[in-house]
Amino acid sequence: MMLIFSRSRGGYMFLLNVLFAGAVAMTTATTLVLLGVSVGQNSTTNVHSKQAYLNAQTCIERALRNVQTNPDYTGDETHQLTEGSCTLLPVGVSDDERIICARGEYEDAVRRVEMQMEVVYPDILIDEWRETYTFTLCNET
Amino acid sequence: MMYGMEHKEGFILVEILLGVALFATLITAAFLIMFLGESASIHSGDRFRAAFLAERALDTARSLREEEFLQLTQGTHGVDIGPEGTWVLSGSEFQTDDGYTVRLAITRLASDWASLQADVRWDHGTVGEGIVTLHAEITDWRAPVGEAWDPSPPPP
Repeated sequence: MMLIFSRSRGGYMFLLNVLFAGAVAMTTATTLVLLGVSVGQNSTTNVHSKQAYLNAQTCIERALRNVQTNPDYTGDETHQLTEGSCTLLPVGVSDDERIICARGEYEDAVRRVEMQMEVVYPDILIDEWRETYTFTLCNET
Repeated sequence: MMYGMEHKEGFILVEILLGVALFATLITAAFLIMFLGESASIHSGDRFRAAFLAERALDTARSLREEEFLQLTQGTHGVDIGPEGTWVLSGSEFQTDDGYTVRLAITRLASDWASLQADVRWDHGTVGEGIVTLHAEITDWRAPVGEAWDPSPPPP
């Protein structure tokens, strides 16, 4: 009787061990999947963010081109681009100084670029050209 | 008594078979899920690398713009490092050593304005082909144009 009881108990122990090992394996696997999903979201956000930054730079390039050809260029416009859009805030004008602020958007990503320059024909002299989290040279409403 | 012992031994055998089957099921499921997670991680890493290569292709165009805007000829190009150690447009695509194909499409919108599209593709095995595309525009804003003008406001 003791032998039978011992074998039966061994079976239960084996079953418990299997369940325990299975739980550990499943937890590890689930953790890896969640990690994979997070890294996937990271890479997607990375691409969206880069495109948003490029959109802001595109607006800056367009504004520079406009300022170069038209000293009275005022900005304050939104451009629909191939991927996303960009918005130019009103150009700040003070004598030969111009301030351009651009916001690029793509999906849920937003990047901001601002610049200050002096327009001394035929040259454009860049004083500042930087990316910011919030505009420091312009007021964004 | 003997009948009871055989019955118990049979029960233990069923327990063992059940345990082994359960173990095999759990381990198989765990490995499949781990494979999916690993595959997602690898794919994400590939996308990071592709985004970097696409950005580099666009930077190549900017670099060429700094030298001479006319170097940005319309069409689809590869980007490579020339004999002088600077970025050049080369062929219709560029293949990296680790299997990425980089294409830079340039569309001239005006004599001083170009649209850029950088495509990076790679083979992701059973999942298929991965692609990252980035768009940008650049202008030749340094080029002097028109007649001289006075940027200061007109007198009252």
